[in-house]
Amino acid sequence: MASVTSYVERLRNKKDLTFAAPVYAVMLVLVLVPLGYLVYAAVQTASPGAPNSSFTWANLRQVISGDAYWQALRNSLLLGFLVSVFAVALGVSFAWILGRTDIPFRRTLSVLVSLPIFLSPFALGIAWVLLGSEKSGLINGNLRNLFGPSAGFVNVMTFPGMVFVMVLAFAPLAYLFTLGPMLNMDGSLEEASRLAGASLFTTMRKVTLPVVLPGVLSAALMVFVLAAEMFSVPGLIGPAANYRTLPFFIYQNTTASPPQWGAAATAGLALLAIMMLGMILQARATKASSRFVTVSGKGARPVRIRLGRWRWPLFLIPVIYVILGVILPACALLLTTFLKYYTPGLNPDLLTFQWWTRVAESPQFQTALRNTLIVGSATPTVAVVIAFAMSYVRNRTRVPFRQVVETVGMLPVSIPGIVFGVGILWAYAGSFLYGTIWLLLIAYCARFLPHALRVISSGMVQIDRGLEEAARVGGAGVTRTVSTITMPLLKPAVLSSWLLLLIYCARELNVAIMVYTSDSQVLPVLMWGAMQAGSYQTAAILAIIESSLILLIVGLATLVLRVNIFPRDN
Amino acid sequence: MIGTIRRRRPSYAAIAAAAVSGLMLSLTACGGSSESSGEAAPITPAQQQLYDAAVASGGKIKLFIGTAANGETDQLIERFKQTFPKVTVEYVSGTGNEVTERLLTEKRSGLNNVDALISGGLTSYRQVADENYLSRFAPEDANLFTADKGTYIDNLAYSFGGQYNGVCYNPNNVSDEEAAALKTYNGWVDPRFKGRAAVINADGSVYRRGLSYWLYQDDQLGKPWLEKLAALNPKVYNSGNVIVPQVIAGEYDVVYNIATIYGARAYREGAPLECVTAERAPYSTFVAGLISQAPNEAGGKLFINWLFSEAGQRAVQETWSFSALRAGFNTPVVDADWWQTPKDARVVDEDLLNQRYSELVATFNSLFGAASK
Repeated sequence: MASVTSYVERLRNKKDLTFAAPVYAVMLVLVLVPLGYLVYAAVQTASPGAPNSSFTWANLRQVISGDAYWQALRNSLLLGFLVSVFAVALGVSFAWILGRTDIPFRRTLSVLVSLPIFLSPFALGIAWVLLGSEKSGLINGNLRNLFGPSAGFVNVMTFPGMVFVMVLAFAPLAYLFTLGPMLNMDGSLEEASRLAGASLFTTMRKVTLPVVLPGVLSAALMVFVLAAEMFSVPGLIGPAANYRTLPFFIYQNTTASPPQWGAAATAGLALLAIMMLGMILQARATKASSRFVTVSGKGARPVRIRLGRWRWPLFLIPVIYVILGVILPACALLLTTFLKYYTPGLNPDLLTFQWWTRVAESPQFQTALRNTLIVGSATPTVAVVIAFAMSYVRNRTRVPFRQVVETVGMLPVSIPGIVFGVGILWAYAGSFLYGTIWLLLIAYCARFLPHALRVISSGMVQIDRGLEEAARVGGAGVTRTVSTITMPLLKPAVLSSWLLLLIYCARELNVAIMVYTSDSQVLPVLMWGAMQAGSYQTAAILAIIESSLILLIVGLATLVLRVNIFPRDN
Repeated sequence: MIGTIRRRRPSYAAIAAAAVSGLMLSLTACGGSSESSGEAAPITPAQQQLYDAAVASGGKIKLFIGTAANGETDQLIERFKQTFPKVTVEYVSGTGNEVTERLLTEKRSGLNNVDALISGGLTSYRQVADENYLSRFAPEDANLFTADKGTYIDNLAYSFGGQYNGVCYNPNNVSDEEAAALKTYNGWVDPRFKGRAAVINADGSVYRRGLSYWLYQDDQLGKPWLEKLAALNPKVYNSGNVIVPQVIAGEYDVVYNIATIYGARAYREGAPLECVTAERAPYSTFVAGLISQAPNEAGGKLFINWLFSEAGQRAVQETWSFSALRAGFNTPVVDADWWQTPKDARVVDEDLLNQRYSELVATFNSLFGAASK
């Protein structure tokens, strides 16, 4: 009997290994090969694919001894820290106000404060350049028209302006991170505090916040990493503000004359190390928050806090955010698309449809739109399949090194997008994939795989193995068990991660800016090019089209597939 | 009660998305004919032969263009297509550095998907030619174009259009007296412009030429004059495309070291921008060259030949606002009282520029600060 059991075990392990082998191979191609090439690029003298490249330590010496590099690094860390602090403060405020209090129009405001997630931060940045430039911005221009030439106090083309725009972009993320813990919190804790005589804000400060603190810390670290590695907004506002971050430093090195690919790769490795540290801390904070008891077992329901006289003042906080983060940017973008040439004054004589016509007729736009739709829909599909396979190997097999699968799969989340793009370019520059949109698909799959892996893994862990074992005992093979038991139970997680990845892919610029070629341009790259060309109208049109596309798909998915990527208020 | 049927509330995201999409679709459906006008020019027998071959090769021409002025490039291509409607033209644009580096990366990777390179100055072409990525080809009417030193590489790259380095300003924010002062180099460095100006750095091919001329070729200017310009604390940019809309919008009053073609473009749009040169204006050309192993070689030749033809020169002048270089083309780019074809235009010594480029960048950065965008 023992020999039969061990035979079955060995047979099962062999089947598991057969299944796991392709997963290991995909991991290697997607994640480890570009990382390896990044290290290789850091010690090479020439550009990707160039003949006669040789080994050198000069790049490392150049970067380490260069003031510009250290300044850019400090700038990135400071920017990440400040954006994280303010975005999380705002996001937690939204979570408390909208999730726990009785302010009016909660559901509407919940949707509205989440909307910037569907817009690319770059589009938001473009809108605020149009709104908030010191002399040519729409806000100051109209203030001067109303109150005289000395009116006008907004200047977004500064470091505080850059922080402001990025806080607007990241606050919704912090909101969604902390809304769940807020909603699931045991309301009796706060009730007890209020009964003991504590005021509303004392209760919030001494009871609510400490309970949700692990979730807040997790959100803060995530926002820090995303803000420090961001290329688009610092690339847009930073040069005029004389504030250069490391991702922009890397990009500048690749477009300089002559380009400094080795220095770019070296600087990228340094940024990678910092981001990995941030992600390790974030993962630990997430683990801590999952052990924190915020949900009690005995029918405790979150109680709506009655705000009394604070109801309407606190109502203003999300409303002001919606005005600054959604309404004003949308209006600025839309108005700009109809201007013959950009000017802060509102002159009816300048209104024209010509820019919409030019964009619609442009072969570049048609190619970019097609590529965005293809990559935007194919990448989530492939990434979700890979994430499922990885998660299955990790949680349902006994193959060697299965614990490493998830770790390696999560690695790209700590690799800054632009750095990853440099690695991908070096890895594939001489291959048949270079110049095709399939290289973008590979790059995007690798970059966003962790997001799918996180959601699907969480879902798989919650499925009782007994269900699958019952099917196996009943004679069903692996395929049948997965398709009839596991997949149906995982369907909500799979669909929501598919949708989330689609949003990320549609607005991705950090990797695409390094990897695109003439045949594989996508909408965000075209938008970047339009801003570099000073064509605000074209950039605004592309921003509107990109955002509309995302909203349309999310709307359809919500209606037709019943997918919901937001935590529900029960 | 068995249960209530609750109607699902419509998703706000879906409603908003539908509204925006409907607006978008209706607006794009309003697209009429493009702005450019003009009739199709007659086709020469040589062009007809290339045209037929280009169509037979798939009908798509791919260009790398070293200027980010995409709106103008679209108009130029539209003029080409009026004469040759059966071919489509796609392009990748950016600064000269960007497109050259991208071209080289793609060629080194074995990608052959570019037919022609069109960019400012010859440095890019020497780089591309060194790696044998340029094809031997002289445009049909090359003998009617300038033979100045530094404007062509025999049988590989030829200049078809020119522009001058000068200053552009917003006439709404600059007095008549100040505008008159900007016609001289002494006037450029007038302290009245302190805090109101921007300057283009040495990144772009056209702009580095201007700086090289002023710093190394003009004995009356040189570093002392550049130091006075730096004392005005101008904001630094690396592209005219980025700064010109800001001058028009009033963010800056003046921008130095700008290609004067922007003034011609703005004049046609009615935008508040005027551009002038000072005495001894540096002069740069735009060049075209055929790429080796082009996927549509006939198409690349067709486009280049067209650029050098009368019809193409007219299009280059009217859309890109470059000065046509074909002999016999003496019309000004625009009929505006402030437009001057400089009486004393100086061709930039490209060899000198290449020798001293690193020094030029270091000098500029030390005087004006690090490069901006």
